[in-house]
Amino acid sequence: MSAENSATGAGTGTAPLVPLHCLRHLEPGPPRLGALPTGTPVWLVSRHADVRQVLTDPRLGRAPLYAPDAPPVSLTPNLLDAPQSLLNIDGTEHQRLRRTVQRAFTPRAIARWRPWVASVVEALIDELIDQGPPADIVAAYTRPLPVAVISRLMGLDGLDGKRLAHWSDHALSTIAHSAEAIGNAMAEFAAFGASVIAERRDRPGDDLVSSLLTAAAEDGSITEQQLITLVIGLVVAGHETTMTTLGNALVYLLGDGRDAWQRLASDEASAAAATEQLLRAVPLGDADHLPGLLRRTVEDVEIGGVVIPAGSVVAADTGAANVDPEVFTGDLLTELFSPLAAPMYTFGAGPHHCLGAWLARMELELALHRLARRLPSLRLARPTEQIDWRRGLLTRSPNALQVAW
Amino acid sequence: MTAGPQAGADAVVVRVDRDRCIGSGMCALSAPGSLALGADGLAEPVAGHGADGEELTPELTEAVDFCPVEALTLYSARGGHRIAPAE
Ligand code: SF4
Repeated sequence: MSAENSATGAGTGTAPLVPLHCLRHLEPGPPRLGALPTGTPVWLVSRHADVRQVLTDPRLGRAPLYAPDAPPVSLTPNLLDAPQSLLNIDGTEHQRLRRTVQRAFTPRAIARWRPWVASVVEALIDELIDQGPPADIVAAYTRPLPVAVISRLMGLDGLDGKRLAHWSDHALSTIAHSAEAIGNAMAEFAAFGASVIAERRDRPGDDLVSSLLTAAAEDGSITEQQLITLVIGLVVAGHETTMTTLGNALVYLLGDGRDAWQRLASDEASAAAATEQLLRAVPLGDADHLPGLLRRTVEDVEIGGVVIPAGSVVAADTGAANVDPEVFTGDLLTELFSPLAAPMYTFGAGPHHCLGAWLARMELELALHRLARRLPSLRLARPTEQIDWRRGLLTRSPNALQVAW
Repeated sequence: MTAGPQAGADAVVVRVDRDRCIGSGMCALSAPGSLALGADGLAEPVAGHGADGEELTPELTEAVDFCPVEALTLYSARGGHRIAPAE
């Protein structure tokens, strides 16, 4: 756990980081005690059924993690630690805030965007082909696609990509940036969120910000601070993880998993099946700063045969649960196009299940299928050992990925 | 126990697609008279909503609308046809 090596990127004499699909997970077993980087004891929960319980059982919540008596869970708090965020409130209060945006993210609502997202995908591939090989597929594809989608959904035309990247890097920083730098970036980001809200109050449109403002006005209980945090949270969540997943999926598909490329091109159903398996088996990042999705018990709870006392911090290790051999057999090489044997927990479960799950799925399916169809000979131009990774954040993905065709 | 005119003209039953439900609990919070979370963390219809049908309440309509994974479907208790969401 060398914090310095991770923060400085290159590492001093350390072996290159393995691609995320090669990451080793905790051996599933009963809940066991570990420690967060802050030294706070944490119950690590790794079995499929136990992870499900942690995420759905109302005796565990997010808000108790930020209660006055709570032990510290982050060394350097980032956007995910904001107590007023959708992620960190529970129960009725959470439901009321989530309702302001939930309708825009149902499978049906998302499906309406499909033709438009497909056109963005095609336009980016056109540009990539025009530019010619070799190319950096992160700069040309995996980053601009989700940014374009969330910008359109939220009506953020003209949002500067560099500023957005700066804010996102700080929003999800673990050790890449100082507390002060994160604080400054988040203050700037919040000011941006406030200005978008003010502008949309004056001139409402057909975008997500306008509709959430209408819903919040009807509800009446939602604070301005919650709205701002929600808007900037949507901006980050709306593109960061999709970019990460797509980048890491391509590291696998253009490398170890290259044999599947042709079938991915064949039809959208194959791409949809592969998307589910990739979401399951390729984690978003290393678990060294966050061993799972955190919750805190509000009373004693028995999980997987272990009684976890009230007030304990619990980490649902979704990466381990997603490959629990009791539930999932086989690996990506053999199962890429098979239906999932059980639900995967990459998007979580329970009240805080990822709002953008359907949007992410659609972007990934289209991005993989169309790219494989248009560029059947696409391949990595350099070995994966030479990948320059974005480090020190909750997620890990290639900073750049050189490809040729 | 009965909240409405059982098997009346407007009675509905609600079905939960348990393969889809991710146990968000949204429905149980917005329509506690119609849906609850079971021991396995997944939603279940309450009382008549699972069998003979109950009156359709605005809360239930809303629960169906707001399910994050569209796991809820409303059917007419009498005719058996689907009421919401639209096909
Ligand atoms: S709202 Fe949908 S996903 Fe959530 S508990 Fe109810 S049926 Fe399940």
